[in-house]
Amino acid sequence: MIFSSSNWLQWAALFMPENRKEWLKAMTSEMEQIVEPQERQSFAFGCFRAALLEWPRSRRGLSQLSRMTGATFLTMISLAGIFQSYVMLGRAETAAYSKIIFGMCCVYICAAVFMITSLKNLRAFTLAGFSLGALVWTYCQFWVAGTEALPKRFLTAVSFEATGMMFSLFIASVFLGWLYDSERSEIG
Amino acid sequence: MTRERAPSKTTLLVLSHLCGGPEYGYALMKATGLKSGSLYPILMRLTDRGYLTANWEPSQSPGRPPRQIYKLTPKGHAYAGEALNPLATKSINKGITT
Repeated sequence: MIFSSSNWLQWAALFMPENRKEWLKAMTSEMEQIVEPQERQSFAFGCFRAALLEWPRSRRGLSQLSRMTGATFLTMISLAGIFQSYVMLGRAETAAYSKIIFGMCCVYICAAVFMITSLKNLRAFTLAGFSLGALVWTYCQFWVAGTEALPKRFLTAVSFEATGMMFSLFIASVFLGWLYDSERSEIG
Repeated sequence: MTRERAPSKTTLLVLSHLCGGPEYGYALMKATGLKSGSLYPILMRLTDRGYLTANWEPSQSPGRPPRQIYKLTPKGHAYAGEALNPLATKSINKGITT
């Protein structure tokens, strides 16, 4: 065994929040009832898992911080994209690109708003965005010939990037919702 | 804003066993087949919401430390009754007699 049952309990004590120490005492005393070493090991590991789960849940600020940081980052790159699309709009050869990039950046700003206000809405929005993006990418990859204004490579690259972004945001919303959703999923 | 979600299957399993009477943690583990890492977070959530009480009792075996015993509160019994019998609750809410 890499760790003994007492090692796991020591690790659990490191992570268990202060307001849950009573539970750790309860788990420790319950483990004293177990005789079989393998079972004690498994029980103690479970206690460590429970402590790991309680640690981020006790730090609700982490949820707010990660969502605010994510939303800020997403908004900043969207605004940069919108600015770039505005610059590109002035040139005839890049006008079509700029409209697509502008549209995508608006979608990302919506995702940033949902990230702050509601994980549930973010989940639904990014799932829809990911599904649509995947469909568009498949369509662009296999059926679209492309035009001079909008070459096939650009369309597949943009749809692939949007799909990836929506998928990442969906996974993040599911993870944060699972971690913090025992009590609430919206701020306020 | 707090949102009351439908209890998970594992929570329902724990509630159904606790409806039968107070239990120690290890006994509950054995009865439900859940591991400690799954059981104790459920017990913590139920206690936080006032559905469960956790009281210390002296151990029945001499020389062993006191143990916590978990018991459903009246609020917990009502919650368990509703959660374990959703069909009856839905029917009552729709005004259909069962």
